[in-house]
Amino acid sequence: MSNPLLEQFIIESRDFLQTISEIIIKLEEKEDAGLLNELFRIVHTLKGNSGLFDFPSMTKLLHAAEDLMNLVREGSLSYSSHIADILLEAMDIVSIMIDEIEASGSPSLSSVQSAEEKAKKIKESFLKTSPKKESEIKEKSEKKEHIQLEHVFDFSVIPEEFRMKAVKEALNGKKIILIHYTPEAECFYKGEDPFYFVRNVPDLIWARYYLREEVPDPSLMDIYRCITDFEILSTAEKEELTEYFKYVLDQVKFIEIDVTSLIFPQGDKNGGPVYEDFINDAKTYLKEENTIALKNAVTTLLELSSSELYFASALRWILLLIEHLPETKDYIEALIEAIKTMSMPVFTFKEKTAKETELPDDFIKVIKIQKKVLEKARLREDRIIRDNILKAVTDVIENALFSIKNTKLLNEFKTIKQSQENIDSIIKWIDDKLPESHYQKETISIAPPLKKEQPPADRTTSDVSEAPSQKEAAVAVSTKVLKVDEAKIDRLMNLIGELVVAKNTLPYLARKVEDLYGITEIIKDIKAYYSVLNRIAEDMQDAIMQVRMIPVSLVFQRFPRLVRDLSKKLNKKVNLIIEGEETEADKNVIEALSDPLIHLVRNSLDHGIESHEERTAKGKPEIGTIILRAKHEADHVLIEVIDDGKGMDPEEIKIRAYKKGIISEEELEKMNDEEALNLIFHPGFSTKEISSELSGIGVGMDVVKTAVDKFRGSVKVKSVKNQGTTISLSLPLSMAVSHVMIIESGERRFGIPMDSVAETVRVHKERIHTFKGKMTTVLRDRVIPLFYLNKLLDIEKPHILNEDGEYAVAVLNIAGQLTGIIVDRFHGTADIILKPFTGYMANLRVFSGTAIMGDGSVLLIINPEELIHGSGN
Amino acid sequence: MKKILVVDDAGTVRMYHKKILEDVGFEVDEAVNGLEALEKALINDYDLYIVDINMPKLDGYSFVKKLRSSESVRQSPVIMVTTEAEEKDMHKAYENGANFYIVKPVNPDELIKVCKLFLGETYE
Repeated sequence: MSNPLLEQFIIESRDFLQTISEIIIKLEEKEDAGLLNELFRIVHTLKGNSGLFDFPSMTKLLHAAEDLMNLVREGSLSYSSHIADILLEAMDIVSIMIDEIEASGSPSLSSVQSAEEKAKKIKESFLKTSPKKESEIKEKSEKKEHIQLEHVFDFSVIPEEFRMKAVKEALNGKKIILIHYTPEAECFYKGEDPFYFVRNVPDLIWARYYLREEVPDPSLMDIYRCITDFEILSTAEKEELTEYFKYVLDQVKFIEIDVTSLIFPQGDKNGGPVYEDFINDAKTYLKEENTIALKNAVTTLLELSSSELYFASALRWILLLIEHLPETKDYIEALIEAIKTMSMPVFTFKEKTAKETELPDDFIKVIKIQKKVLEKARLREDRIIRDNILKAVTDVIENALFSIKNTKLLNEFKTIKQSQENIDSIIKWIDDKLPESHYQKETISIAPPLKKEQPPADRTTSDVSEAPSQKEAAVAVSTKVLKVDEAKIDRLMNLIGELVVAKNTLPYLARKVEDLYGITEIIKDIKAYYSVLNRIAEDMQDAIMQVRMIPVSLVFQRFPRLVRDLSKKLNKKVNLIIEGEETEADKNVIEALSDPLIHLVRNSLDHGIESHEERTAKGKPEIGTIILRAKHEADHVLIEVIDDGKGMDPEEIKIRAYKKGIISEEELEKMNDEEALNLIFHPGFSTKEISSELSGIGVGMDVVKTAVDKFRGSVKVKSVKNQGTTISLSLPLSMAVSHVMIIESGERRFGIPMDSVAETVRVHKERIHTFKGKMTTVLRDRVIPLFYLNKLLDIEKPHILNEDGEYAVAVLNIAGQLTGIIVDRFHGTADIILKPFTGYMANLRVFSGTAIMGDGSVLLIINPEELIHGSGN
Repeated sequence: MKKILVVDDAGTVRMYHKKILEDVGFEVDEAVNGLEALEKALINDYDLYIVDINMPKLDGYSFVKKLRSSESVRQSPVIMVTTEAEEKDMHKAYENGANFYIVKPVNPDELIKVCKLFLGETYE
């Protein structure tokens, strides 16, 4: 998206939508006139903003919502949860549209349809307009659409030959009318055939049609709805046209076109020599009114030039206009000038001398309004206000006169002002100068909606430079927050990532210098310099991380609504408590939390919190509680979902898992409660035999686990039967740069995330015991399983023992379980930027991705969990 | 350089107006509601105010009313901008001492024309 205005609109709309839904929910708790007004205002603003763009269905829906709010505000409708639901649904549709606009520049057909339907529904249910009013409204909106056209019609769409045809007619005294015809969507049902109808317009010069709605997929098109608009050029009399269109007058707009709008050359501006001589000759002939000589000069040159040229097109126009000399003299002059400058002809002359004394319409309109303002001010009691308004008005009149360069009137007005500056004398002056005949009914013109990415005139908002200055990009909100495009931060993130990796090259170079050349002095310098660079890079990384940190409230804020809707559906009473929503974590982490949390909260509502009767029978408070809590824990963010529902029974879970074949009989007996509870994360495990509509079909807690694992986080369950369940997710605060331990095995190097490395030890081969084909060793009085890394990775090489007969073992902590991995040797740690695999390689789950090392080599990063559990052990 | 104050609670609209007006060489300052606009009007000398009607804290009507009853602020013309094209809204604007009324969404050419007239810049 390269349109900063559209980006701004999207950012702002999201803020509004969030506030709207918060207010709607607050209003449910207690009605408050202030909040209602606030709500109305925001919906209104949002509607106004949407009107800047060409999203009519969104505007329509917001308008309906606004009208509905207005009824509530006026007190003719009382606020209820039904109304809240309707508003929330409407805002959901708008929200989807905003997402779609961001993604593809326009809302999808389906959301446009649902917006239209919703708007219609709101109108039908609440806004009972009498049929007459309905048609008035319609007429008004039709009118709006038509007026918009005047500003957006681009005459260059009309091919030259048709423009010429029209101009010829005009030179013979006809008027050129541009007709804009918008057939109703239902016109086919009325037996109309717009296409045929247009082709038979009297004195038709040219016509074109276009679709007024985007049809992303022709197969989805409703062929019984007419969505075609027509633009027609005709030279018939207005009366004749009015007669012809009499049945659809509300759907047409006639605009009289000045002949100069149609006279302009078109074609290739490059190529063909421009003969200075010709230009000079042509000007001379024109001055002398030597028509024959001019015609000859033009014809000769036209024969010599290729017809596609701009130049040739201009010559053809001159040829046409020569026939109507002398009145076309000015046009020809402008065209000769256009040939010289290779630009659009400029018609600076006045068409009629009479016009010179006429005042511009805009000017008249402004002055007329000033008269109105004065008439109203005259009735004011307060002298200060009267004088102030008069001051402002005289200011306006003087400036307007100066603006249209009407010195005569300006001097007159100044005299009046000096001699007798009072309201009455100014009103009188206006009446004298602008008799009522001058006064046309005030019309309100409406802007063309900005077409996505191609606003109307050349004065557009999309030509703001690609990188708007901070002042432009920033939105001044009361807390002076700077809003920055995410892509910019991501770019910073990538750059710092590269810097962090690049700096690692220095120590490597230092070693190389040492090994190859044995120069030690420079080594010290390089190392010192490296530590400086290292510090700066780390600080910078920290700073950028800080920028990316966003509060979890962004995820939490959706929950009041979710809980409200679900508890209604389930007919349960639940109180949601949110704690620590200001806790911050990396944007990606926060975003990744969203889905798992929804799942957990749904689970709590669905399976955790008991029904009303059940709670009463158990002697628990009848309203259940769900707590959503966030807090920091070292470099992790900890999110807890706590409910006081029925809890889980480890025994039950174990039996179920056994029945489903998830665990063996042996495990069934040995498993402790904690391990049993963890079984719920096993794919395909669901505590409910029949999964309810809410918790997703056959989707269990494994979804949560997968999401958390992706971010190298962990998830824990605590549950006490009949008292409730606590599920805690722990995620790293950020994940751009990871810290890995580099190990070597089978002459290859791999990285293991430091998060999962508990310690590195040496284990003597004698101390490795094998039970039932599984290797174990005792480490600090604990039995831990051992694996050969080479075996796990199918590397056909034995592991290397050191001279003391010991293996190097990395002890990994995977979800609380210690496991030893036998490797060949350790190579210290490194900061890396993890690039996840894409495409086919993504199936290699045992590696989470790759990293580029300081010396340019590629390091595979092991995913410990997959390594141990994914390979069937 | 003529100075205009654009008053609107919607950043999108402010940005739109600002861009249009700056392109033709006016200096544009912004305020997010009527209250801020009044505060700014006390300190700065604006040649023109372009004011939205529907705003928090202090709406457009009240802004004009307060401006027109102040003795210490320069009495520059006020153009009201609103989505409501109702006759009664227009009258209300004029009653409070506004000098013009434009309906949203604003057509750039229209806005420029009107501003030029109001500020005495050459009108084409």
